Amino acid sequence: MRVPALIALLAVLSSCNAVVRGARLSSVPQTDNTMYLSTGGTPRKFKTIGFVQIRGYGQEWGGYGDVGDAQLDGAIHAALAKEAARMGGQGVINIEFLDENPSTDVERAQRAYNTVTSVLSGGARLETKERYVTVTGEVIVFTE
Amino acid sequence: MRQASLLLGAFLLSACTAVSYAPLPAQHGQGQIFVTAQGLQEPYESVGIVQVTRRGVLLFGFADPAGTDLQAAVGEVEGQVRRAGADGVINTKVEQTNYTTLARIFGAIFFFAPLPAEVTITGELVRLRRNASPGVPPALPQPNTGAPL
Repeated sequence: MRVPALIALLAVLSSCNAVVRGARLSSVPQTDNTMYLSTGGTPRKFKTIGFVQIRGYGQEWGGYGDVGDAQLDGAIHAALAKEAARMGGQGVINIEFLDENPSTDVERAQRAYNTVTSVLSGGARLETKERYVTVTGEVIVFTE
Repeated sequence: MRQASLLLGAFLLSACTAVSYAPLPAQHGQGQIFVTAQGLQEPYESVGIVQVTRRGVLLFGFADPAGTDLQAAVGEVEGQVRRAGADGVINTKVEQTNYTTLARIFGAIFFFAPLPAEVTITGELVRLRRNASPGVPPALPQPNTGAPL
């Protein structure tokens, strides 16, 4: 009785922290001639040609395997930039992104542990979690 | 009867506004880490994007042992800035679970069902280009002609 209570207490007190990092966007002033991507505006004059929203769906398998398109990098640098280019845009500004349900280290470890114990006991039950990321942005063309 | 009246009085007197705040680190003019909800007017190099999420429960409606407040999240963002070798974070957005006093009182009464709490901060890590001048931007990227990226 004392051990489960201690574990529950540790779980509550533990830092349930999830950090998601992604690749760099465009610098100011822009140093290359690729698609301009920024979470803010641009110092250059531009015209807005539309807005884009991408919702990536994926699954996390066994706590550590990511399958599908629920990664911020893929949603911004591949899907968002590709859609903007398809619209004839030269950049995407005011990009907003949200990884809707990132896993904390404790949650990942717990799912990995459950998967391993399931496999070892002959159950072969893979613990999965549905994952979603949402990215929106304003597609622009530069006017000068 | 008296307890019910007391409870009703507490509900009526409790504010329906939830407030939370976090002091920010010094601004970049002082050469320290900065966190801002706006962009920058000076040249910078993007280091990457970052999202920090802290998740936990509120025990008895008010106790926050996992640190799901803004202060803790901003502290974690500062740590990420240092780890990435950046100078600060720009264009930050904040999402936080905010319970009113009434909801917290309910949480205290029904203490066996702790309130879930979460705070998320997103932003772009940047490094200032102190020797760069705004200057003339490079050639415009050409509009897409339909070819795949």
